[in-house]
Formats: sequence, C-alpha cells, structure tokens
Amino acid sequence: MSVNPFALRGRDHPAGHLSPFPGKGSEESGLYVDVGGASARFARFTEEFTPPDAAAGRGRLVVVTGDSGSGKTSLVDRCVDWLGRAAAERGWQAPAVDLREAEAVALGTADRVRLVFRRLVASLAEEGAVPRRWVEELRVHEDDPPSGYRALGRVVLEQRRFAVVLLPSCELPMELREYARLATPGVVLFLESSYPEVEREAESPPSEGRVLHLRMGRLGADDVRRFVEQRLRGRPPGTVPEISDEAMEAVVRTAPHLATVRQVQMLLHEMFDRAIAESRTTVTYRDFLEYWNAKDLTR
Amino acid sequence: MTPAGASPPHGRNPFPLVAVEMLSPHAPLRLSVTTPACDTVLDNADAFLRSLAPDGRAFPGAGNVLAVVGENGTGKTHLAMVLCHRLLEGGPAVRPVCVDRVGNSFLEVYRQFAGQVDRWALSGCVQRFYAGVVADSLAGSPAAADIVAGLREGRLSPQGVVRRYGLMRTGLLEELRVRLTAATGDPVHGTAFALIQRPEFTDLVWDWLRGGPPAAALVDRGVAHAVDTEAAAVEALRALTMVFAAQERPFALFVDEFDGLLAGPPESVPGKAHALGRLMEAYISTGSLLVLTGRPAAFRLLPAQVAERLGAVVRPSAFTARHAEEYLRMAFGGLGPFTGPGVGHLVEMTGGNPRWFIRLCHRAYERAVRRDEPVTPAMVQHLIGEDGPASGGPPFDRRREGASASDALGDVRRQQALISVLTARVEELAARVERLEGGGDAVPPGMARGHRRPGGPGP
Repeated sequence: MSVNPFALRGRDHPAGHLSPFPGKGSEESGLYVDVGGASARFARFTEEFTPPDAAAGRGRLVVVTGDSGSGKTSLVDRCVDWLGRAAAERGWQAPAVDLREAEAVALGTADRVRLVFRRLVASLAEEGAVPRRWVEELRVHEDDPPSGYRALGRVVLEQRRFAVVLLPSCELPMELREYARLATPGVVLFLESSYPEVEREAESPPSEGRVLHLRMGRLGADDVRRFVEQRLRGRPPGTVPEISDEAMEAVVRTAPHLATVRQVQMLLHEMFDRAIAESRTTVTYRDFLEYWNAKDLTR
Repeated sequence: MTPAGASPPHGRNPFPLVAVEMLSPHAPLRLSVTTPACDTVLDNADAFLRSLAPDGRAFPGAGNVLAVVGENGTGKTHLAMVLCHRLLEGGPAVRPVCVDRVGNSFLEVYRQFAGQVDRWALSGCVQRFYAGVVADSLAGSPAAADIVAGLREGRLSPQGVVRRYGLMRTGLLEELRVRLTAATGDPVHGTAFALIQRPEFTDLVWDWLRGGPPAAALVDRGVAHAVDTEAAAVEALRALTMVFAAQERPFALFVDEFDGLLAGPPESVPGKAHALGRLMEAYISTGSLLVLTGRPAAFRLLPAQVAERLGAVVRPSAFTARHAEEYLRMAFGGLGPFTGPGVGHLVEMTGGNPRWFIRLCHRAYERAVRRDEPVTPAMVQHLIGEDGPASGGPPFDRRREGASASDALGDVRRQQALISVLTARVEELAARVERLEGGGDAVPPGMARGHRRPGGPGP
C-alpha cells in the first residue's frame, strides 16, 4: 500500500542525481527540492544568460562547484534546460552534447582536453546534430582543440545555434583555465568540480568575463527539514508511512555529517524502505539507527 | 688418522673458500658463534623489538641507527645478518630490507629499497590512512560510532563506507593528501601516495616510485620529476620510511658497505653526509631501524652532527681460540681433523680475522682429508709457507679497531696487508661469480641455522 517518497523511479539506487526538467526527466519534477542554494544559483545563471544569444555569442564557461552529491549535476541540467527554451524563444537553437560520463582516464590535461574534443566531434557526428561537412571540418582540428572549438563556434553561429557542451568533471585548475580559453563565441561549456582548488580558481579565473562560477552550498538543518517535508507533502493519507518526531530530529541533527542532498536522500530512502518492508505506518528512530549498521561493509 | 678422536669427515669441505656473506633477509644465517659483538647486536635487536607497540606500530622518536664498524673480513655483514634474523625471529613486526653494493649512490640505495617494497603493503598503508580520514569525518555522529570503530580497527573498508553513505569522496581524498603530506613531510609524495587510492592512478604512481618518469597526469598534479637525483632518492627513501612507520610495520633498513655513499671529492662529502643524516633522522623520528655497516675510515668522515645520531656502534670481535673451537665443534660435533694446538696456531696466524681463519681452515681441511693427517701447528705453518702470506691474510688488530692492520707490524706484515687488499678484491669478484652462478656456500647441511642464540663473527 505504501510508496517510498524517496525512491527514484526507474533507478536501482537512490543516489543518482535528479533531472526534473522538461527537456530530460520531467517525471521527476515532483521530486526536486530546491535546497543548498540551488535557486539562487539558478537565478544567477538566468540573469547572466539573458538574453541567451548575446551571452552565448560571446562564449561562456559555466563552472559549477560543490561537494560530491550536492546537486551540481541537477543544477547544470536545470540551466541547460532553461537555456534551450530561452534560446528557442528568440529563434535560436542550443542543443546540448553530454560528455559527463566520458571515461575518467588518467591523462595529462592537454591529452584529456584533446580526447574530450574528439568525443565531442564523434557525438555530433553520431547524433547527426550538425551537417556532415561540418563534422569533416571539425575532424581536421581534432588534435588542436583551440582551433577546433573556434571552428565549432563559427559553424554553429552561422546556423543561429550555440554549441552547448557538458564536460567531464574537472579536478585541476589548469584544466579549468584551458576550458576558459576554449569557450569561444558560439560555445557554452559546462564544467562541474568538487575539488577545492578548482573552486578557488573559478573564483578568480584569468578569463574573468567568460567564466560564470556557481557554487552549491552544504545543507543546513533547515534544508534537511524542508527536503523531508516537501517530499512528504501532498501525499494522500495512508500512501506513505509517517516519520516520527524522534526520527525526524535524528535526521536533522545528522545534518553536519550528511551535508549533501544525496546523503539525506539515501538515508531517508532506506529508513522508509525498512518501514514499508515491515508494513509499518511509521518510520521510527530505530530505522535511523539501523541505517548506520554497517556489518555488511567488511573488507 | 683421526685427530682429537673424531671420525674423519666425509663429503664437502665445510669451510667456504670465499668467506663473504650476503646480506639478505631471505638468505640463511651461516654458522655462527657467540662473541661479545654478537651479544651486542642481539641486545640491540631485542631493544628495538621491545620499542614497538604490541600491534607492531613504531613509536615516533623511538628509532635507532646502528653502526657495525670493522675492516674487511671482520664479520660486519655477518653481524648484520645476525641482527636481521633476530628481527625476523621476532615475528612480522618489522619489515627488514637489505641493500648492498650501493657504490656512491643514494639512488642505488633507493633503487634496491624500492624494489623490495611490497606494492600491496604500500596500498594497505595508504588505505589505513584513508580509513582514519573517513572515520574522523563521521566521528561527531553518535549514530556512526560503530562505523568509526570499525574503520579504525580495520574491520570496515573506507571505500565501502564512502559508497554506502554517499560521503563526500573528493573532500575525503583531499584530506588524505593533506595527511600523507604531513606524514611524509613532502607534498610530492603526499600527493602521489594519495593517488594510489584511485585505481586509474595506481600503476602510474607505482611506475614513478620504481624510478620511471612521471606520467603527464602525475605531472599535472605536482609529481613533476622522476626520482633520478641523489636528493630525490633521499626524499623518496624518507617518505616511504615515514609512511610505513605511521600505519604499517616499520622498516629495518640494512645498508651493507655504506662507505661508498661518502666517497668522492672532499668537497662533496659534507653534502653526502648531510643526506645520510637526513635519512638517519627519518629512521629515528619514525621509530624505524637503520643499520649501516662499513669500515672505520668511512665513519670517521661523518660530521659530528651526523655521527651523534648513531645510537650504537658495534665492532666485530676477533676470534679467540675458544671461539674457533666452538666454531669447529658446530661443524663437526668435535674438532674433526683439527687439533687443539693446530686451532690455536690458526687463530694466531690469522690474527683472529674470521674471514682469513675460515679460509685457512678450508685449506687445512682439504689437506687433512687428502693426506689423512691431523691439522697441527706444523701443517698450518706449512700451508702458510706453501701459499705465501695471502693464505693467512692480515692480522686482526685487537688493540685499536679501525686502525690499518699494517700500522704496528713491520714491513713484512705491511706487504701482507697490501697483498690482502688485492686478495680481497679477487675474493669480491669470486663471490659475485659464485652468487651469479647460484652456488651455495660450502656449509654442510645442518650448519646453516638453528642456533637459538646465533652470534659471533662469521665472515
């Protein structure tokens, strides 16, 4: 009878990022909770990219930083979704190429940047997103990303398009600097990082005008409370277990250690799962304690 | 003829012609008699083992540097082997590593050292650091108390805990880097060791530790240079020593014939001595053990501030007639073909130098078996006369350890000493050939080990 309000539909694991936006996973729109300063960061993005054709026409690198699981990927998805729609309203196209899942190979920065550009060209060719002759032109520059991104910007702008590229996550300041250089007119790059050194670099990048830094914050107790309440809100009585005050307090008190939305999501998902499996109508403090039973984590 | 009532022995000559021992924790300990020097190294070994915590961890500052000082053939390497084997008998608390023939290069010390460092042990060591980092990140949460304890006791995998609770991996890895930097005193090694935790970097770091050039991915992260200079080698030795001592079994590093490390033009010696001093400092500060064997002249080159770090100086004892007889009894159960006076004459003619004594025993035994006659003073004298002074070698200077053997012995003995130096060179080469051929030492079965209290200068 009960549904776990913290389950992510169609996913095996409750730790994945949410993409509750019309362009991607609109079925998740009811699950997204605006915590960790996401709204403010999103507002900053829309301000910077209004009008989108002007901002993209200059070339931009959007750097989203924050802890692992803090909602960086969801924020990027939200921004990309908005950018596509805002561009369309002005007669432009901003299709995104998502390279975030590209294999994290241990290469030097220069080789990594080259590899990513090759994958970008391969993706454009595969998706048929650009005419074949453009692909051939871009392939000429595969070993020279600066020329390649310039060529990409030139050909897309001719077609009233922007090239929106979601890059693999970054851990080195020098990689950020390189992409700041490559964000040429017509090209909008999104880069995520959870590394403090990259965050520091993003605060004062060399190509300042071209880099927009959005930093996701850690969750406070209020964020955790709001996250739980919003997920439970509007559920018809009897369809989800209630959470006891004691359990709720325990979750909130854990906030300093569970400082990201992913951690809170995982904790609550398991607590509710346990209650549902035992056909209970209330999630208790014992469910909270059981979550921390790590007997199965031996070496 | 059967001397001293013992049956004539059969089979191989029990005395090696080339009495040079190889320093290795994997080599068997040769026949050994108890001498004062032996007792001293065993006492030092026991004291070091006692300095460790019950779980084998070393206490900072409780390390030691032991010098075994003596001329060629006096049994320095054997004493080091006695010490090494005593540590091994003490269980798995210590990680002995032996290096030899290092020439004048710390790089060679490092090359041999790194070649003996176990890759998985280093990973395990870093893993324990990481477990500490993850445990500390959860330490303020009462609900996670069991997890914290499990991590600290090594029952739980830190990676498993990070995955299970979605912890902030990047921040934890950064903290790991900071801690490893603090533990090694070197940001380059702190960074490299932290990267070992990431599977995609493990091979790159390992190749670099083995002396290869750093891959571009390492260069970008600050590991910019290969370990290919003397200074880099010393830093790498220090870093590995420190990281193991902090979370694993401490090293006991044996550097046999360290003399060469200080060789070179006089102006280069202070720099080399300083490097050696830094290595000593790392061993002392981390509760590890460094054993240096070398000739007295080399130790005299150490500046006072380096020499004062030597925790103990052991000088090999010369063989007395009693030691010699004990040695022979171990070989034969009695004196074999050797007579008491013959043994006394052997000791006298070799000055108690174990290497020369054993070599002369080898020749005397050959003759005794071949001619079925006992080893008497006359036979010993005959052998010396037959082969010239080289068969006896230089006498052991009991009065002043470290002085040249020729100082007080007149022209004839000086010539003997000169010849002995040349002979020693030949012996070294012969020993190398012997090792290369994988030939065993001429020690009969049952003689190699098994003495509860091994000791005495073997060669």
